Amino acid sequence: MTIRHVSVFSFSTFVMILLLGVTAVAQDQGVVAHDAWVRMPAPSKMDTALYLVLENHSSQTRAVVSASSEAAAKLEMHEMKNVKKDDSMSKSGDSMGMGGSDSSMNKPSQSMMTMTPVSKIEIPANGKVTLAPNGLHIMMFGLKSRPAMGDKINVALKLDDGSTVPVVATVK
Amino acid sequence: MKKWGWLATFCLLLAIGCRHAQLPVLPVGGDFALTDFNNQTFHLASLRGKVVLIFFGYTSCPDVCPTTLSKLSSVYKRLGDDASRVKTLYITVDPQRDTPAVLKEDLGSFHVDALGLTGTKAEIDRVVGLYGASYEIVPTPDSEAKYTVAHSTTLYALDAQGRTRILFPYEATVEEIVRGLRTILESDS
Repeated sequence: MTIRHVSVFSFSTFVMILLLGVTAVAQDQGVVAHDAWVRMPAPSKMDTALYLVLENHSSQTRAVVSASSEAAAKLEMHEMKNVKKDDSMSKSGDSMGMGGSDSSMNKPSQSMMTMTPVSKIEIPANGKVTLAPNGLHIMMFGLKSRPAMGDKINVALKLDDGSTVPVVATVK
Repeated sequence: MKKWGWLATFCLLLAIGCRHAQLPVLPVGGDFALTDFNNQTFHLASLRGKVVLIFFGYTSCPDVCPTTLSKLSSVYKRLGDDASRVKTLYITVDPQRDTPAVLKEDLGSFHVDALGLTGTKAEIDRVVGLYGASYEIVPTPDSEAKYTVAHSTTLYALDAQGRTRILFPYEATVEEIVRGLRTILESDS
């Protein structure tokens, strides 16, 4: 082997070991949270919503079963649901209801958005779930102090296997 | 040249007329009276001459309502000089918690020219019925929230004569709302 061959071989081996190490770490991490943010509460309220992305790097489906934070009295998991009052309403491609001969767009949609508590949030194996406006979110009730824009709030998510996922959310 | 001039004028008038004809008067809406967030009686008719946006919501709503108000903040920014011609009415479907003071405080955090409106259940139900909206108090005894309010999310746009012209769905983008409002503003000017 020439010196060049040894160098290339050593570099390739190094890269492989590095990649294996990164993969091992990711799998060991199980569930990780990122892009977490908390909506600035309304001026008269000390309640707000937390949104984030949860990634499951394990081969087992995991579920968030509870959440807690020193910044708030109680955290609950909720989801927004669209409840249709009149399923006979047809949809039109004219989303603004401007013109068109489709009479269904001359009437307001009877569907209602409602917030419903959920007992757990499942994260599929080797998958992810996104908590975002109009869907899943974690309610934070009774904030102990009014946050400022940009503040960081620590939250702990408890999983069904007893482990805890730390979250650092930014107030926006 | 004289013949082509008349033809161009005719086409221009036809185009303007067609634009007006594209925006029908919708069969929902009507005048009403509620209490505003200054604790004064408010009549919709007092806003003749302005384009009006109407939204039904409640201040304890953590998701849909702040999302809509944030969207409207962007709409007002995009309207520029025309923003002063548009007034938003935020009608609460949770009058028990949304007192005038609460409405005023919470709406003030959004860059929207909005007036919060409340009233008795009967008064609010009348307006909800006029506009074909809907809401339902949902008890959640196991939650800190105690109850939530399911509510429709249509955003109503009225012209300067108080007639409902556009129904924006919750999914409407800032661009779509601005475009729709400009159409109403141009037809009113």
